[in-house]
Amino acid sequence: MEQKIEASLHGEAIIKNMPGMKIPATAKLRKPSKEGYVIVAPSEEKGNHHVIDMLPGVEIYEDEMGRPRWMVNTVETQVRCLHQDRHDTRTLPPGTWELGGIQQEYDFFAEAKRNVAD
Amino acid sequence: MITELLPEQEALFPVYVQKWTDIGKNTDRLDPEETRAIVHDFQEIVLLRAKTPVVIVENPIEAWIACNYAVMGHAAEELPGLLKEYFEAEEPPIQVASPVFPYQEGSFSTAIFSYYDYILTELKLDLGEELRKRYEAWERTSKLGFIYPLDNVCIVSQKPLEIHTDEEQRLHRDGGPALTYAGYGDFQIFSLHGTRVERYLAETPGEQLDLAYYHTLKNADQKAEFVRKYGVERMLGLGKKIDSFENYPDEEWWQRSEYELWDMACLFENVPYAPHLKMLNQTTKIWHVEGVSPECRSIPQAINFRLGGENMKIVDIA
Repeated sequence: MEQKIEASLHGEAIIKNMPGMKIPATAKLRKPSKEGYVIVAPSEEKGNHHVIDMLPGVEIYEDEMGRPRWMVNTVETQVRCLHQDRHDTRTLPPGTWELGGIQQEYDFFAEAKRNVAD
Repeated sequence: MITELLPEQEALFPVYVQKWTDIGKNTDRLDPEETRAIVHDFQEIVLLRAKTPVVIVENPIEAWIACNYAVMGHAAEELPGLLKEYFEAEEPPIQVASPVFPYQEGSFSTAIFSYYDYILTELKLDLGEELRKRYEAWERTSKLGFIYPLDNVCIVSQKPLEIHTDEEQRLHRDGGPALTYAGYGDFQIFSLHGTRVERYLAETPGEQLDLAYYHTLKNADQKAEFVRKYGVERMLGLGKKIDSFENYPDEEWWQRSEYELWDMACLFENVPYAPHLKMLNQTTKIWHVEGVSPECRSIPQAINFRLGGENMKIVDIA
């Protein structure tokens, strides 16, 4: 039976556990930011971004658009929200991870308006 | 003849959209001298008529009442006093005709001017000196509010005091009027995401909305705005449960999230099937309900949709 990829969900952020995955050659290592974290799921309205702490031993790789897409960490790190009351902080063990996925939502409000317009 | 635009020309569309959206949303008070100059140029250069006195009023309602008095033969200088009398009387002293949209919409015409501005500036269309002068006199009216250039007076409305929009630039304000004018007539427009609504729906916090109000609404867009604000999760009782976490005892995180799939088509006009996934936030213990693709008929399909079509095993949720 096909082994399913394991995913951790932090709010709408999807973090996939990808043991042994080879980071693409086109990926670029991101420099640590002054904030000390990388945003994996932005929150435009309230600024309550989902972030992963870029500790020593945590490497974040960007895709060609400069988006954080992969993480290789040899130490534990945390995924958290800037305002922690919405979602608990979670620890990510050492490993290789795929970032950037966002849970999808279907907008029936737009569908209803579109159908009425049609 | 220009038959198609170059990519670099098309790339400038957003620049003009932003420029003219900003002009359209400007709420600066009119400068009387500048207003007179703009109106007089419009009258002489575009309308080819003589200049008239210019009366600035606070809002389109006042403008219309002033028009009625002007058409009755009252002089420009009488109009401010007559407006005061009209609005402060117990009964309206005159019968007012049904409002007619103004001859010129001022700052509300920015969509038109964005088009012409782009064509003249980027495509370098040559109007000739005379026509260019007329266009520019017309374009300058975008600095003003509504304009009624009558025979003996030109009545100009101030622009709104406040204009609120959502991220798509639709008239929108949750908690108050989306558009407000000064002056008599209590001119306020309540709108949610571009849908005109009653004050109650705009101003009442979502958690205080009464479900009974939903059943009084006939307009589909207003009903949708009610649902959006009230929260689909609070309206589940109107829907139909399709699937439940109880059917999947081996899925630990589905159990913890207490996933349920509900058809909420009853809330959306002309939508035959509207599946929504109900889930429990593991931190706050608040219920969330979010729409999933109409192709989803079960919780596994809904989860698959939410995860972007990938078949994954959820090992943690926060």
